[in-house]
Parts: sequence; structure tokens; C-alpha cells
Amino acid sequence: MMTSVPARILRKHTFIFALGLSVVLLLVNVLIQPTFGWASQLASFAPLALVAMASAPSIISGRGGIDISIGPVMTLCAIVFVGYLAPAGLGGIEALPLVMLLGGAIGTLNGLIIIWLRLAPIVVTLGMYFIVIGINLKLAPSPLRLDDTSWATSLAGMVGPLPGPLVSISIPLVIWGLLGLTAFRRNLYAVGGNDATAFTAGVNVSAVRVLAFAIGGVFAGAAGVVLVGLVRTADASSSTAYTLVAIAAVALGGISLAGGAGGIIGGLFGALAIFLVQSVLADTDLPQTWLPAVYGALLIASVTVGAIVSRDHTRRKQ
Amino acid sequence: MNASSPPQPLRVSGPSGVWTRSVALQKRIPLLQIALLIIAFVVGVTTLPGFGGPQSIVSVLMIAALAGLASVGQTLTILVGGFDLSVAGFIVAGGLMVTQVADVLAIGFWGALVILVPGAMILGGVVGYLSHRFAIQPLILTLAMGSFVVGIVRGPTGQSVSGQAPEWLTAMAAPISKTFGLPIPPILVLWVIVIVGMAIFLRRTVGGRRIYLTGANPTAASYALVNTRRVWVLVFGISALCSALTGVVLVAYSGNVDPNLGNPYLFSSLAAVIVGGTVGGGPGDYTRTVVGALLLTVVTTVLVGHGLTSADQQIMYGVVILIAMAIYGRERRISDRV
Repeated sequence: MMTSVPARILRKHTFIFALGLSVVLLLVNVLIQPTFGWASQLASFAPLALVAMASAPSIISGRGGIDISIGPVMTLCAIVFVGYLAPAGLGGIEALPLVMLLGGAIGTLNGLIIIWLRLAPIVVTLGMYFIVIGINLKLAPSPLRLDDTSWATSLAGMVGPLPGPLVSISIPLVIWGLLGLTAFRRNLYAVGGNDATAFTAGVNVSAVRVLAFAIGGVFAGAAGVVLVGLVRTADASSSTAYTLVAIAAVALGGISLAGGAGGIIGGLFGALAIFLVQSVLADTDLPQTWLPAVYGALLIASVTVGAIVSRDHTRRKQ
Repeated sequence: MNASSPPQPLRVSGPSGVWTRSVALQKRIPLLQIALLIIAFVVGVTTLPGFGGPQSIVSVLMIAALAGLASVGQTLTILVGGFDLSVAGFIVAGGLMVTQVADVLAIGFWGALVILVPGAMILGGVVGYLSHRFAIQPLILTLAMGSFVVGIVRGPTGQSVSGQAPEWLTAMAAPISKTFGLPIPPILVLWVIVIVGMAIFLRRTVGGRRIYLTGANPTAASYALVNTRRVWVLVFGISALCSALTGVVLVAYSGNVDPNLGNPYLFSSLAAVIVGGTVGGGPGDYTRTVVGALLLTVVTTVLVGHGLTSADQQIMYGVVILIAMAIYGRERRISDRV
């Protein structure tokens, strides 16, 4: 089929739509807010970026692999870090790999239930969503406060000469990049594109799918530490705060919910676009009560546009 | 997944042991859930004083009725193979429309209802159209629409949420209220009418058949001249309407409205449908959802009576969803799909 060059580039690199949107919104932000605080804005953006990237691998693995439990898992990791690891003398940098392991373990459990019981991912992660929220409420009935001297606060400030948020955002990017050196990432796209074909080609579909959920959990664990470094409290009631917005960011970032397309960079730029929209809205005179409407409308519009743009891609798959 | 949802004569071929027979029966009637419901009720009656009293039974039934009414739309959307996560949003919107917005715009309860009914149907229909036309996961669109609808209802009022239900409305929803002199609250009567109506609609009308066909196999349905897009538009429109009307009932029940009015019902509606044994794309029906809603309400009430915290309740919801789906919602093995 003959298509114009821009359309083809857009289809191949689905995150470009979100990237373009982000650039426009950034300009708007800088224009209407002369005192646009780069450092603080970047710091409040980091947790959202990590959650969005955490949602990406399972969605890429296909068959509706949406992981709803990412938000609660992130809060669980924050609670375990502040309330259990730090008092036990494990509050140093070694806590980061520990909570990432915890997140990875829950992701692995999700994946195993999905492949063993052959259930739809959304149902399994919905069940896990409830279970983890319940565990969060049990572990932290009231918000836990992070010690102000903790190293984690530097993730919202400066890590050596580098801005902390950039370091935390680069954690999943580096892991994802390293995975690109292995066969896993190619297999992930093969499974997401068409799992039956991947199966006949000898790919261990089940292992790839479990690993996709595990990696999402690992990223969610990192997101928990980054969040707690920013807001300095681990609060069980914030378990649900990031669920909707993470899925929205991923969809906006051009990661096809049919699987097999897009990358975590799409999640990053989708999150950036959403964050900047919130930032613009917060600075206008629009009453707070209108925000959900603007937010919902934007999401509907962007998901629809994204679906129209990537339609040929999904059609070819069937 | 078994695509043959409409009733078939119960003939168990092959080994006709008790197990095989009960598995076959379970596919038609939610026997397991009914048994669990009875056990939970008996446990409640024997361990909690006053649990079996008429007043207690009526209030348990009313809580179940609210969850059940919130699950009508969810049942339909899951039957056609979708999901409706805008339940909470439309409940809040419905509740706000007939209280705060009706006051601010001075249009009264009925004026607000005249706007609410077509408004909810149109917005729900848009979701159904978009997700069918462009093959977008209804999950995301309904989430977004839920947010959107709360915004457009709250936006114009531009103030903190406050609203009182009209007195005649709250009187109708009180557990001690009567219907035409009978000692049954109108909400329960409404629920019974909805249950019977849904049973007839799904099993005995062309529209109901089209819903099952669309859910079981959209391609086959369109070859059978079912306009599946119209089915999706109508189902999501009706689902939004049901949620909005549930919001009106909830406002009547609780007397006032708050922005978190709908949140518990999003998840209890999903849980009721799933526990009842309705599976994405069918089989299933609303009667199963009713059993699911009753089961969850009775179990929760009994456990709360024994000191269960909301944290335990969340964990229980999650475990129940996983177990129920493990019984029903199995997909085919990948080696069978090659």
C-alpha cells in the first residue's frame, strides 16, 4: 500500500505522536509560566514516567496484557521500603534492588497465574490489584514518613552532578536497553505480534509472557522508591492514584494494546504529554472541577487518534 | 470458551457420574454459588445474633440490591465481550445531576432526569461506537469516559460537592419504607422488576439473542445479519444509563452525594458479575450476577460482623475473583490455537 512518508514514520515509531504533543505542550508551559521550574517539574514527573514504563512490557506481550496491579505494587514497594527495610537497617541504596525484586516477584506471580490458569491478564491483575491494596492497608494503616536524610530524597534532587529524576528515569531505560542485547526482547515482540506463530517458531511463549510481567513489576518497584523520594511518605490510600494514568500514558504513547508494537520509550513520552497537560491545566484559571472532563476528553481523543493511525498495523496482524 | 450459551436440553453424554452431571449442571445454574450463599447465610444466622431477623435480612437485601443494580450494565458489557469501568463515573454523575446540578440550574429533579437519561445514553453509546469502529479496548475508553462525565457534571457547579436528595426520594429508599402498604422497600421491588425484565430480555427477545451472538462470535454474528456495531452502541449506552440511574437510587439511599459515591460500586459490580459466573463474551446472564451480588453481600456482612477490616475485604475480593475465574474463564491452550 502506498502511504505518505510521514504516515509511515508515524506508524513505525508510534511514540512520535506523543513526542510531538509533548514538545507543543512544553512550549505552551514555558510561555504561560515564565517561572517554569525545570528541576521541580522533572522531579514530579519521574514517578509517572516510571509507572508508565512499568505498564509497557506486559502490554507489548499481547493478548490484552494490561497490568492493573502496577499502581498498588508501586505503593506496596514504597511502604516496604519506608516502613520495613529502613527500620531494619536496610534503608541504604541496597533497598532499591530489594524492592525491585519484590515488585518483580509479584509480577512473576501475575504471569504464572495467567499462564497456569489460562486466565485473561486483566482479570488476574484485577484480582491482584485488590489483594495488594488490602496488603497495603494492612502494612500501613496510616501514612509512613520517610526519614529526611534518606538517600532516596536525592532522587528528587541531585545525584552527584546529575539531576536525580533523570537518574531514576534512566533505570528502566537502561534495563530495557540491556534486554535489547538478548533474544528476550525480540521474542517479546514476536509473542505480542502473534503468539501462535511465535509458538510454532519455537519461542517459549509462556516464559516470555511471565518475564514481561516480572519486568513490569521490577520497574514498579523502582517507581515506588522514586515516588517516596519525592513525596516523602508512603501512603496506602494512594494505591489507586496511578492506575488510570499509567494506562492512559501507555495508550497515548502509541503502545498498541493489541500487543507487539511500541516500546517503553512510548510510555515515557505518553507520560510526559499527560504530565504537561496537567501542568498547563493547573496553571490556567480553569476550576479544578473541570479537570476530569478535560483529562477524559483528551484521553478519548488521543486513544482514538492513536487507533486510527496504527490501524493498518493491527489489521495486517489478523 | 464455550460459545453455546442459549439453553440446551441437559443431556450428559458419556460417563454419567455424579461429578460429570454436576459439572454440566453448574454450567447452566450457578449451583456452587447458591450453595456457598446458603452456607454463608447459615453461618451468619448461627454465629451472629439477630442476623436472621427480618430487619437484618431487609438491609442485607438492600445492600445487595444496590450492588445488583450497579451491575446491570456491567453484565451486558461483559456479555458482548467488553468491560465497563465508567460505572463509578456515571453513578457520581447521576447522583450529582439530580441533586446539586438540579439545584444550581433550578430545573428540579425531573428536569435533571430529562437531561440525565439521554445524556448518559449518548455518552455511553459514543464509547460503544468508538471501541467497535476503531477496535479500541473498551477498558480505556470507559475509564476515560467515567472521568469525562464526572468533569462535565461537576464543572459547571464549580464548587465543592454538596447536595441533598429530595425528601420524598429518601423516604422511598429507607429500609423501613413500604410499597403500596406492603412492608417491602421500593428499591427491592425495583430490583425484582429489573431481575425479571433482564431475564426476559436476555432469554426471550431478539435483542437479547443478538447480545449473546455478538459476544460469542462477532464475525459469525455479522454473517447472521446482526449489526454488531449497533449492539455495542446500545449495550454501552444502556450500561451508562443503568449506572447513572443507580446513582440516583444511591443518592436516595444515602441522602446526600459525594464524589466517591461510585467507587465501591465499580469493583463490586465487576466482582458480582465475575463471581456469578458470567464470562466475557458469554455464557452468562443477569440472574447469575444477582446470585453473585447476594453471595458477596452476605459473605461480606458475615465477615464484617466477625471483625473483618476493609483491608481483609479487599484481599478477599481479589482472591474470590481469581478463584471464580479459575473455575470459569479458562482460555484455550496455546498449543490448541496453532
